[in-house]
Amino acid sequence: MAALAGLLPQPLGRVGRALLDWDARPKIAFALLLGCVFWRLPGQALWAVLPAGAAACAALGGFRGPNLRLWPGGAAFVALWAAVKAGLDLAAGAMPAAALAGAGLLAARLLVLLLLGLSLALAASPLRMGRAFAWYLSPVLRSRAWEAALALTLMVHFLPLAWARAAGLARVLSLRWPDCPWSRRVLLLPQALLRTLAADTWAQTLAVAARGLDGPGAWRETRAASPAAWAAGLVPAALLAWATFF
Amino acid sequence: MIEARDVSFVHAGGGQRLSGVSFALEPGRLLGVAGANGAGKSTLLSLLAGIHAPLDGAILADGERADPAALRRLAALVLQEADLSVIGSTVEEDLLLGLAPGRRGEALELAARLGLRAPGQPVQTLSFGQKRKLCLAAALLRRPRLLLLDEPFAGLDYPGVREMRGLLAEGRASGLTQVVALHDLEPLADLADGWLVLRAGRQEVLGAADEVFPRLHGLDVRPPCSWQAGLGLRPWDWEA
Repeated sequence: MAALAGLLPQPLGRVGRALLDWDARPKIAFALLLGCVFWRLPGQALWAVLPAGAAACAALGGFRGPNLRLWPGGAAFVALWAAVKAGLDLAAGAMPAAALAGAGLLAARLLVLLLLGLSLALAASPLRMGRAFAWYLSPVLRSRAWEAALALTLMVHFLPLAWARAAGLARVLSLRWPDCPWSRRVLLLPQALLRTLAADTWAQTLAVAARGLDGPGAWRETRAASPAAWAAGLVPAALLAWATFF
Repeated sequence: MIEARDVSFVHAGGGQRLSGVSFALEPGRLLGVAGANGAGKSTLLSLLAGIHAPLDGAILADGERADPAALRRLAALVLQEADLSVIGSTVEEDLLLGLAPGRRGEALELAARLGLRAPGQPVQTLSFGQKRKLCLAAALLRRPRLLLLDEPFAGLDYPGVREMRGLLAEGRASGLTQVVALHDLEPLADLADGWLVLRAGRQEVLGAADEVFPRLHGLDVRPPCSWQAGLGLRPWDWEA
């Protein structure tokens, strides 16, 4: 599992470690504000932001080891939506050049958001992120906010496992049936994956219960919210938002 | 004292079942639960851990009937699936999960004693044996009176088995009551105070090693090779 796992914080140097150590609550606020800004940025500014996003992602180890495996999927996601946008624009009667420019702009926006999202995911452990989300949700969900934290943490914890299981099954199928036709493969693999994951989900549920994590105590945010950490997150994002929107 | 009185259970869907399991365990005792795959070992552990409630019979702690909530307070279960049990992203984060903030020092000290000396080490870089130890440390930090271990030796190499044996012996010496489910009896042959053998969900034999090992014929469990050697038997001669 470990070899295939993705979304693993692997900070590089002091910058990466400082980003990782930063309280996850202002980090989430910062990412949300920045996401809104990036969605509205004009094209040229967006291209200028890309290297900064890539640098942050690199500092957190987004381009190293198992995290590298996340990129083909991310690139496919961006390419798919850019193609859909170009196709729809062309179908609506746009000139090819304009359709391409529009698709390029969407691709850049999605890429920047992807870098931002991955930086956020790599800048905190699933556990800290889960607790931070529970903290945000506690005014609404009150005593049940811990369930959201548990769900989010388990989802992030479980994703690499599902990924590893899928890769393992594909490898096994190619060993046991090298000439397996595509039509059988698309049926066999999802069925086997569902079966395997059902067993893993059961074991995971037992593991959570066995560790006593199915209660609010384990998911309470124990770290005090530091004003400096909030200021470091909100001030630059607010300034950027002000510069963009006003 | 932990006691199971005629405990029965059936999983939803009627799959694995357990029936008529009874034993009593004094504090500081180590009980080995043996059986083939599907014999009901893990089911028994989850009942003792309070994850499931018996359909029939009762589990008692110090003579009082213990409901699942009470059992969950007094018992800690370490599952076989270390990858699923380790949820934090570093050793420290995983250990502190669910602990009061003031217990960090104690947690790191225990981890160091178990050989996990780098609290910041990402869990994905731990070996299988280290993950097992991390799960054990997390369980011990809950200060259980009853420690339940499901196949703690499975998949461990020789040094890992030796270390795990050492930890179990340490727990026993410190007065911790332990129930260990396993299918290969060798690692616990000289450590367990008693043995309970399950077959297809039924309790077949209960007692000390010298009573239980000679009665393992036909129960799908092989006696420890060291014990067989004492009888002049080779490891695979037992059921022959």
